[in-house]
Amino acid sequence: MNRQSFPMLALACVAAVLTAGSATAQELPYGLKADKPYEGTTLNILSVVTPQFDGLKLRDGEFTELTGIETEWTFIPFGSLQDKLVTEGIAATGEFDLVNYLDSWGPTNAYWLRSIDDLLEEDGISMDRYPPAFAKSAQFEGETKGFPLRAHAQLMFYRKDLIDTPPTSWEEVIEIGKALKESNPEIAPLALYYNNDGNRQNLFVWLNFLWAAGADVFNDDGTPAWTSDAAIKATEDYVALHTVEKITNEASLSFIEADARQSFVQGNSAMTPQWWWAYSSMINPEQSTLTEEQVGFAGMPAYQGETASYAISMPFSISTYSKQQEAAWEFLKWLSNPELEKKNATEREVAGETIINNVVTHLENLQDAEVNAANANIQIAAFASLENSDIMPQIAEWPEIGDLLSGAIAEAAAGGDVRELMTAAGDQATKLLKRSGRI
Amino acid sequence: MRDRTLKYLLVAPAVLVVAATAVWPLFESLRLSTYAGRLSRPDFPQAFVGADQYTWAFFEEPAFWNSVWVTGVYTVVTVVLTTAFALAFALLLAPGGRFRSGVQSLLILPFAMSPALIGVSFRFMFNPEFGLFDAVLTGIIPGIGDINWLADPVWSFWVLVAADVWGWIPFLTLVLIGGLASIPRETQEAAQVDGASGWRVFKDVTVPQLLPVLAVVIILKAIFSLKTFDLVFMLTNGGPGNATQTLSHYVYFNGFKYAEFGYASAVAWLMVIPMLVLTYFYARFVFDRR
Repeated sequence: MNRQSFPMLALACVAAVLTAGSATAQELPYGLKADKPYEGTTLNILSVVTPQFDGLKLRDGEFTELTGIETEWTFIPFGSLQDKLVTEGIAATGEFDLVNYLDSWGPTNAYWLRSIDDLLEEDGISMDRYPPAFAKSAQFEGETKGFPLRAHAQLMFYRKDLIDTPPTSWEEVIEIGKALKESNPEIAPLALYYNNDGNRQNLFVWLNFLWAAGADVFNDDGTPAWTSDAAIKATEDYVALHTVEKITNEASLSFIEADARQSFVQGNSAMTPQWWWAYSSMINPEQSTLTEEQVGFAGMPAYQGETASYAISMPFSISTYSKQQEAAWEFLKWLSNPELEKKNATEREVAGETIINNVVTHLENLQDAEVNAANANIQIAAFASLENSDIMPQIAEWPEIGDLLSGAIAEAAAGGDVRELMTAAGDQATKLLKRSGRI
Repeated sequence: MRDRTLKYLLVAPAVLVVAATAVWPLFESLRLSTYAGRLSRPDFPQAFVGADQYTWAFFEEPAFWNSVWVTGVYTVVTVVLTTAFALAFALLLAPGGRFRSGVQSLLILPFAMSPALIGVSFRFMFNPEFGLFDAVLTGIIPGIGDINWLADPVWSFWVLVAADVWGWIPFLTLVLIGGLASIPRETQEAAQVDGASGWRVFKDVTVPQLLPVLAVVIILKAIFSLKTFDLVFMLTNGGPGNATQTLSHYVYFNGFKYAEFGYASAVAWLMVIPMLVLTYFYARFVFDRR
């Protein structure tokens, strides 16, 4: 090397170092790590079948481009998801790096779902970005287990062409219902679901009554609280919609949530409380006989002057059996980012496929004008519904306890004695809780 | 290689498969039934509890006895009805019987359907709002449309029975047709020549000779009824309340929905007892040639 070329080489070296430095410092969006440290990794994701996650999957090319991490999605229908999850927990093979589940299944599987509080802190992500009920649904015994990527608020759907002003209280529901029976006898005023078949769905509306009455499912000491006078009264009033007021569709006894929705979209019932995601199917001509002009929605009616609603979520968590937990966290950061969520709720076509999804879970998106404009303002209605909402109890024994309750309510709606049935369910639940060491 | 050695070598793979997929799980579940096996905790299975799971089932859990009752009644009713209908159809379709060709091909259809599919179909057909049965029956018997079939504890049980009987008749009919074909016609003809009526021929000549096949049919159906799961799962899911919850469904719920594998194993073992008794008799009728 001669003396003339040395300064040039030094300059080139400095430039190279500076370039490398700037590359290292390059900020990737969504808090993703730079330099693709997990490039070549393939993540296996277990997810429920839903257009919402179809939309995310179709967009995950961006994630692969940013991180070099490939993804492999396995979609399972909701009806089989719990079995798959339990099997994954028992097998402990780490087949799936990330799993999607219903919040009430979380406690049973919490021991193999990674706590992400340290990761949240490291990346400056706060669960405050979600409504409190949604955030709570992804937490168990003080630990955050994942993100509530799919979560729902309850709304009262009604026929705009039959009902001028939506009911704001259950008293008004009864009033409107009775008037409808007179004016439109061929249509049932209200489609409810009292059947205990299907993930305790007959508790969804019952919880509205219970919480609004100031009662609860469990006392602070963990014993059943649904046998209190206030709770029994609330349960009686919930059941009375069918047995006394007779404003429900006669088939409500055998309906699960989907049946009630079906009755509504077939034009056989004029009102039905449903999850907000149902709206898109209610106005979809391929799935419904109703048009956008006919379908209205409002917040859940008040009971005893108070509105309380039930919220549900399907969080995504990292499996502790996964050997790629760091890469899985990168994916969760990307998957849960509010920008992606907004796109997924506003863009109706991804990679040539039609995706109709109105589910958003971030507070900012629930109140976002663009998101609301694209979805008939359903997010704002959901936001209001979530103001005073809660989730089902997060204890491992809940599926069994909840089924006891669900069975009691189904029998009560079929004409059984509410107090007797709820007390019997309470006694059996106490025995179960004692046996498990919960109380 | 000696014949004796070769014989054992040829049988060995099948024995190994059965041992791995049936015998080992059977004993493992027996072991689990003596532990507090909660899947919701990482230290699975937890402490040894001896016979606690069994005493819980017997003395503390009304749902267990409810499922025993449902399973028992369901088994008796479905066995009786299925066998009776299958026998009637077999007599109609036996060689020489009337309507044979047309009905036989129709009968095979339900047998080709899986119980899960039958469950879903019946669920739709008994839907109170848009179900086929409701619409048809209302046309025939006014007022029957008010029955909410799947929401009523009694009616839902009978819908379940109807679905099961409908699905099983063809198979049992085919078995009984085979049995009827094996009965020497001379015995029936001799009785007829002696002036016996059709009923007497059937009662005193046909049935006694058909008895071994009939016994196999009854035992086989009883085994399948005892372990009925898929039909219940798809049609009523044990409801309303737990009015149609069979033991298999109860075991499944405790194992997979409530994560109580220890308890589910114990109840599964309680199911094994009647199964073993029935299997013993089945084996005696099928294999005992003395």
